[in-house]
Amino acid sequence: MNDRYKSDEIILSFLVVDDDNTNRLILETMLRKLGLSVYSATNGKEAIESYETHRQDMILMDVMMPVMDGYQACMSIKKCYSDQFIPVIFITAISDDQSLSKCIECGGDDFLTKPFNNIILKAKINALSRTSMLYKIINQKNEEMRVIHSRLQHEHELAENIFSKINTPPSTESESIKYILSPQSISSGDILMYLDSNGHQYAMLGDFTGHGLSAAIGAIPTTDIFYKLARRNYRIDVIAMEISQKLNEVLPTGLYCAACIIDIDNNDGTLSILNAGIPDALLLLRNASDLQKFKSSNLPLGIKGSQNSGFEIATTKITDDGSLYIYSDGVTEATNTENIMLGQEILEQLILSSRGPESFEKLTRRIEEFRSSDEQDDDITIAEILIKKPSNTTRRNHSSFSSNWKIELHFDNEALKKDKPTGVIINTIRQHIDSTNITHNNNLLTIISELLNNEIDHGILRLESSLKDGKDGFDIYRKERNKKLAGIVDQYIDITISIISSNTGNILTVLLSSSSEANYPEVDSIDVDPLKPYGRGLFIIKQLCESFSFDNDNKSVSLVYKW
Amino acid sequence: MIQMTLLCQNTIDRLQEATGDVFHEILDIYLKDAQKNLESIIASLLSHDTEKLLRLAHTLKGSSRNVGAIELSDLCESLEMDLRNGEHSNLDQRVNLISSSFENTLPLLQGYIKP
Repeated sequence: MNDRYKSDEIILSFLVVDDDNTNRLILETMLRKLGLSVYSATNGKEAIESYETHRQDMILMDVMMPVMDGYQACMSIKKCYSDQFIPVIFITAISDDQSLSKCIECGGDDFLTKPFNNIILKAKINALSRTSMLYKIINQKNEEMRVIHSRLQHEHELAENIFSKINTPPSTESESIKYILSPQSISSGDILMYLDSNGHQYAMLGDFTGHGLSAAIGAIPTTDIFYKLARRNYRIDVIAMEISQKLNEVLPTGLYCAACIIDIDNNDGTLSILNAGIPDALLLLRNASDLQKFKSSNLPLGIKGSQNSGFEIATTKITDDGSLYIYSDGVTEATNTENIMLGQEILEQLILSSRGPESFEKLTRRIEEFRSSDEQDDDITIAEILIKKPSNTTRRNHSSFSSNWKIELHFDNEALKKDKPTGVIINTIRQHIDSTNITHNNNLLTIISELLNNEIDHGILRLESSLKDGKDGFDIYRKERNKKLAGIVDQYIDITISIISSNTGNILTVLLSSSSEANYPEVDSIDVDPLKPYGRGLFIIKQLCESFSFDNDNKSVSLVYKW
Repeated sequence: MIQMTLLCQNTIDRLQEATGDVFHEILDIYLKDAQKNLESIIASLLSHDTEKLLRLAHTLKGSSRNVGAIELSDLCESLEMDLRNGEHSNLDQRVNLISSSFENTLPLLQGYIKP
């Protein structure tokens, strides 16, 4: 016989209720011999008390007992624990029809007649325990589900919280961008960022494949890197590479971020678009008859290997005022009541027909009208970035500097120790440059300070960047630097900086030589390891400069930066 | 009078099989409790406490059936039913029958305890 009432996980327990010693001992013995655990009570009241303490799986109950009879005890227990299945087998005489029906009325599940027969008892227990076990398992699963559900709920709330903190949409005060960001951004995984930085307008729309927590996890470094690098006017392919590398690290396989990153350089009127898996960005200039489309030409960010091949940027000259539209696929995939998708073509028509004043309001109203009252898929993210044609009197025709100039500085051993050459030079140049042209000023200062820092740290002091690895790496590095700097002997740096301005632009030339005997790397080999928080100095210079070269014989560096 | 079977062989065999080493203890307890029960039955008969008599007969009926004392159990059941139905005649005689049935069954069961 298959003993279903006994399993590896659960041993059923029994409560035997009978005032007669013989009957009780017989039942207890029979049940114990079946390997079950047994509790006893001699009347209904004791039975209730025992059940409250031990919660047995099944009850064998005599009817006629002193203090409280079996009917009352059964009713009381069944009423108190109505959410559970507690089988009660009444011990009764089969001859008494009246008491049989009363047993059923008060919730009895089966009967056992005397003389007790262990085979019949076993069969009855088997039948009831099957049901009981099922209840038990279901209850266990329910409890597990409840715990899992509440944990999920908690995680979702946490994710939502993180996401809403991270995904602070562009300030509505900015007149250069108008947008609708999906109110269900946590479930759609859309993020939108915008930054005005040194004459550049940066924008990024991201659409995470994973929703909820994974989108929140991805959103943290994405917004962080975007704002950090945009503020420093990094090229958008570098921004994309950094974000992609980071997402590759933090997001599970199969989750990634489709994105479109925009850089509008108002200094020279260039629009750069990096589209990685987002529907076509659409540019509508005032003087143009049709939309200019910027298709996705990159893998989404965070896909393994997407950063290896580099990111492709599309650029165009801004010949007139206009609007650039970026949107997530929630827009083109929006459906109307007939379940027909809006689609790319209709969206383009809507954009064209919404031209003119309040174009964005018109456009979004029309999209809403198309969607009619379907509130179900409310995950639309769309932004319009207003583009201004650069004024005719662009600064590029004017010198940023009051005049052409050249400075030559020599730092001897003691000056290198005490004077902090980078600070001295930066302060000197600051006094000579046009403070209105912030982008290029920043570039100038970046080039010179990175060059000098590189020369001192890696040339003269021969410090290894890898010291910065690890938890306290930067701290260790700084201490080592101070130690080495205090001990230098017979070291020097010569630097010549000149700026020549003409109608066609400005040229910065820097020549640097020093006592360092360290070899410079091949310029071509200079690259950035996105995994490391350092080692970007020379890479940035290489990126920014027209020419950049080393002469390992003379231990000198020369570079040219034009604007 | 029809000769009734005192002990149901089948029941007692099954009980022994099902309870094993506890079997002797069960019979021992039964015999002691049945003895006490019978004394109470006689006492309640003398005090005309029919309600108590009914309950005692019910109890003795149940445990007797379990150990296979089938004649004793049937006599108790018959008394219980009649009392339930308000039939109070010949109570002395019926209690005597129960008492003598127990006396006859006792040695048979004792035989199981000490073979």
